[in-house]
Amino acid sequence: MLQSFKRALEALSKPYTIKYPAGIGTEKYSSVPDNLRGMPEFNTDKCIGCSACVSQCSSGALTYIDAEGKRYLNINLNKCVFCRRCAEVCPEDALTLTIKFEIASNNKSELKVSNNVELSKCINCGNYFAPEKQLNRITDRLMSGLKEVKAIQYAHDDLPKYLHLCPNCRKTLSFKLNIHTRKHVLYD
Amino acid sequence: MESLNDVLNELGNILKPDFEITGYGCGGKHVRVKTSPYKLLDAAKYMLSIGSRIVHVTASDMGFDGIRLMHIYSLEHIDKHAHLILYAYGNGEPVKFPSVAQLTYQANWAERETMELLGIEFDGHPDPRHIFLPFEWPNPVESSSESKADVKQVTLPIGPYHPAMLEGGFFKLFVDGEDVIDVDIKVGLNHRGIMKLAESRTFWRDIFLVGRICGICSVPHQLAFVNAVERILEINVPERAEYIRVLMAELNRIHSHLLWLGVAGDLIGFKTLLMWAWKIREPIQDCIELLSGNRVHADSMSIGGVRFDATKEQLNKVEIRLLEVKRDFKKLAEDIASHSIVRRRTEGVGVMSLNNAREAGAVGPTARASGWKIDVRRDSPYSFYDEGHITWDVVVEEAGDVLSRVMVRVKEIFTSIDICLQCIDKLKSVGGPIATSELKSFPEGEALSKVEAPRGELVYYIISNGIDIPHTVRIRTPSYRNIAALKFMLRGCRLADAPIIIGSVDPCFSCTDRVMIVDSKSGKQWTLSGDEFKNLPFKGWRG
Amino acid sequence: MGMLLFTIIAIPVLCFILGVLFNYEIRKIYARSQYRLGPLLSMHSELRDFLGSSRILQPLYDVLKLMFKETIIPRSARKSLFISSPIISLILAVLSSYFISYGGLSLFADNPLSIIFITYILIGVSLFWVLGGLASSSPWSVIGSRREAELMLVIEVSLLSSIFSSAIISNSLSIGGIMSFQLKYYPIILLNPFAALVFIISVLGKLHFNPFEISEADVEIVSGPYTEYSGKLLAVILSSKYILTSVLTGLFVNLFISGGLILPPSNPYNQLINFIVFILECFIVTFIVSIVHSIAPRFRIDQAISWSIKYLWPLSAFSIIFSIIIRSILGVT
Ligand code: SF4
Ligand code: SF4
Repeated sequence: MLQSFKRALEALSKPYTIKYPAGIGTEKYSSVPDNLRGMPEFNTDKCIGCSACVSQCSSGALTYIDAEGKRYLNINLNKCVFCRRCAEVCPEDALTLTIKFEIASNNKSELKVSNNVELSKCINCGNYFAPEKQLNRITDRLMSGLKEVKAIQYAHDDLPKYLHLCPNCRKTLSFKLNIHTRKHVLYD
Repeated sequence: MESLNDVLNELGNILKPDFEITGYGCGGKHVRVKTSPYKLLDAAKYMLSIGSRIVHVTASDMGFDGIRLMHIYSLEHIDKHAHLILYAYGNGEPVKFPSVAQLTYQANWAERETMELLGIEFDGHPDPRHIFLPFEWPNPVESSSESKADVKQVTLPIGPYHPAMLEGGFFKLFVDGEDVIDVDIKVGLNHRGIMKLAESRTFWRDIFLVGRICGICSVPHQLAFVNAVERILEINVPERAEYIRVLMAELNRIHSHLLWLGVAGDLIGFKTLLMWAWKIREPIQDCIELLSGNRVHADSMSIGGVRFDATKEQLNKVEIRLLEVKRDFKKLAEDIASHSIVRRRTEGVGVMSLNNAREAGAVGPTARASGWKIDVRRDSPYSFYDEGHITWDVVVEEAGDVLSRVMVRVKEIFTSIDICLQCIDKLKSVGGPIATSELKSFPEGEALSKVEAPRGELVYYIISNGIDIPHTVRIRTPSYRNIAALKFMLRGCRLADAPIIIGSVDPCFSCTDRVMIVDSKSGKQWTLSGDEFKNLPFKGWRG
Repeated sequence: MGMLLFTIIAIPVLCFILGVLFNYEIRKIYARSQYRLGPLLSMHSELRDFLGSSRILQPLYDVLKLMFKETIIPRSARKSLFISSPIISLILAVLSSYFISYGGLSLFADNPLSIIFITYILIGVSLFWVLGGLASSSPWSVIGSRREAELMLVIEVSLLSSIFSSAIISNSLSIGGIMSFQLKYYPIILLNPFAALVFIISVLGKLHFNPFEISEADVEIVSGPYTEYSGKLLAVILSSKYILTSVLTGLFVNLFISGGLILPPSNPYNQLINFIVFILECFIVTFIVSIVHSIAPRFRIDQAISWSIKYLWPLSAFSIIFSIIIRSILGVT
């Protein structure tokens, strides 16, 4: 008990509580490491709208809707658990977790991080089906992976045709366009 | 019994002809044996007679085969890692199995839970009441029909909210004056259905889900989950990742024990101890935040490794913090140990003998405080807890009272700090990747994994049917056992000690609490709103 | 007459304000010994616009807040007793404040039997808390009241014996008399430190501070006798507690450290100095109380009683005997 007494007396002059929300620097925040997992943020230029993050989001906070020729990606910060899984799976590093953590708000609509990407139209039926940027990215990746001249030639001819077809049309048109015959040409 | 094989041979003789070894796990140490339902009781008798402990009883709906009831026995006293998973399929409407709860209290809650989750009926269960649903379900009866018939009761409900616990349980104390004679416990007031939810999400998303079962011990939950998944996938984890895992788990243990110490202080009215312990806990949280980016949910585990690497700079910072904590906490620990009123409130209070601990199947610090040397880290070492990598000792205290439960945790904090420091030392020299690059699709399979969470043995059983969504996830948390063991501690204690005894096992259930006091001597019924109660103060406390 | 009326009103108000300040100090010291900041004496500059410049009146704000809250009376409570007992205890607390000498300023302190009166009144305050708790017929209140009553049995005895130790030394049953004795000789705390110790421990019990925070043990029985009280009635209870805080610390200062009388109260200048010294001494006593409050856990009720009977009672008995010895040595008549 005497030790406690000593400790209590010592503690009198050394408060440990910081001044939050007042103060500056360490008076305000005891520690904010650089790798703090805070509010997620989209890099609008990089995001291709592939929705890989949506499929892996651990809490279902990340959702997308396609409407009016655009894909809207939304993070509901009320649901987000700041796990950084989305940033981990993003192929373009377009999603990062910032160190912003003071995101409490009275206004529900502020608790949202969103991004939108242009969708492209199916060249056959004219319906919107996939983000423009994603298709371009796929083309780029495919093209850069090919070495053979012939393959590059075919890909160059065919990719615009098939890639810009919506899944439905691709099904109905696959015979007409005769994708399968080319397969052995590419891979033998 | 010398070895696992002897046990299996003997079991084969007993269960003949319904004995079939259907698989092995964990390097041949987890043996899965299929038998028929009516042989389960014989097997249980034999297993208990050789000193084995029922880790969990659970079941899973296997579709066409029927419902599979699994008894998980620990044979760790014979061989490291050794476990027997004895299972049988049952069909029918309703599915019936013999109850092993009539043999041991260890299976009591587990079977009640299984009844609730899968609608199985257990023949001969001594206490087949609901555990998650209200006792009276589906009848909206308010009478306490579960009470003992020969005792005329005076019911005085203290609740539904009780400040002693921040989470919810229902403790119905049968008291005679100030002495508690018996206790009845009801949990499940905040059942969240996480096991069911986990069976509808992919393994990857489940990692984050199971971490959120408990904010205090999120690391062990994730660790146990990924361990189980890795056992199904049969992949190895890189060395560096294992050290980071141990580091995170031990940091988690330190902060959990410090948190508990503070709460225990509050329960005996020592709020200052709460603040002192939590002040020391703060740097630990900072360390966790520094390493993982979040103070509470480290989320550092991933299948086949960890998600965050620890840089040298971070490790140095953590090391400095840990040494500070060690120094500070040493003083505080001495202080607590010598504080006369703290001793007065805890010494000899809520004693649980070794026999009772074994009977109730207590785990973790609660069991170790009664002199039972069990620790998953030593009995079935996971990650790098085995001798080759880290040296440490299991902390055991003999007295079994609240004070020894305090002391076990206090000493474990020092052990954990030592383990952390060793890990940091190793991490500075060991390089390599932090996650395996082996890519595999999920095979069919099942795995048991155990982890020593701050509160004790945490058990995961996962069955995968070959897709990336688990077929079955079964979790047995340590508090499940320890809260059940409270029955033995609360018997014969004083009413005023009940909060600290309940708190001393570090119970971890969520959100509402009901305590009901039942006077076993006098015959009058007290109800809160009746005239009887109105006159209560003027007639005297005992009615 | 006008002066009398002024004193009658001024003393309880002064007592209440002092009580608020003492409670602020207790909270502050309690917080500081736990490495917390506590209610801020001077608010952080950035927050001044919203939160005011100081929280020194925080205990007062607590009471004011309760004044505007709904008062709920449980249906099962004995209504008349439930309402009247906090009010009676407040009246008794106010009454007791007239017997304290505030560095010379007082109403009844010079009454030849003031010690007898004040002891009775102080018991009454606690007694009506107990009654109020019982009348609310909540199980928590009932347990709390029972504990409070049990604690009263042991604590009042030691409180009485320490008060009478100082009365014995000074050979006077009036607080004013005891003070003038101390002015003449020495403060009684020097003559009989044991009695002072017993008094401090009894104050802890009387005001429900650790290790005697038994009847209000929040984790066990919510807030004991006051569990069912809310709104204005709770404000009344809180006010009576504040007044009791300053009465008890004031009584300690009066009985043991000469009540601030360091100069003969012959002129207003001296009286002012005495008053200031009195308040300073009170703050020191409160400091001791709050430090003990912060470093001790709560006893169990049976432990508290057995501890009191084992250690406190013998100590009180000893302090009385010691007083008799001291008195014969000093030769007071
Ligand atoms: S690019 Fe990244 S952020 Fe954009 S949708 Fe794909 S995964 Fe999400
Ligand atoms: S941080 Fe986690 S929860 Fe939040 S949006 Fe990303 S994946 Fe979803």
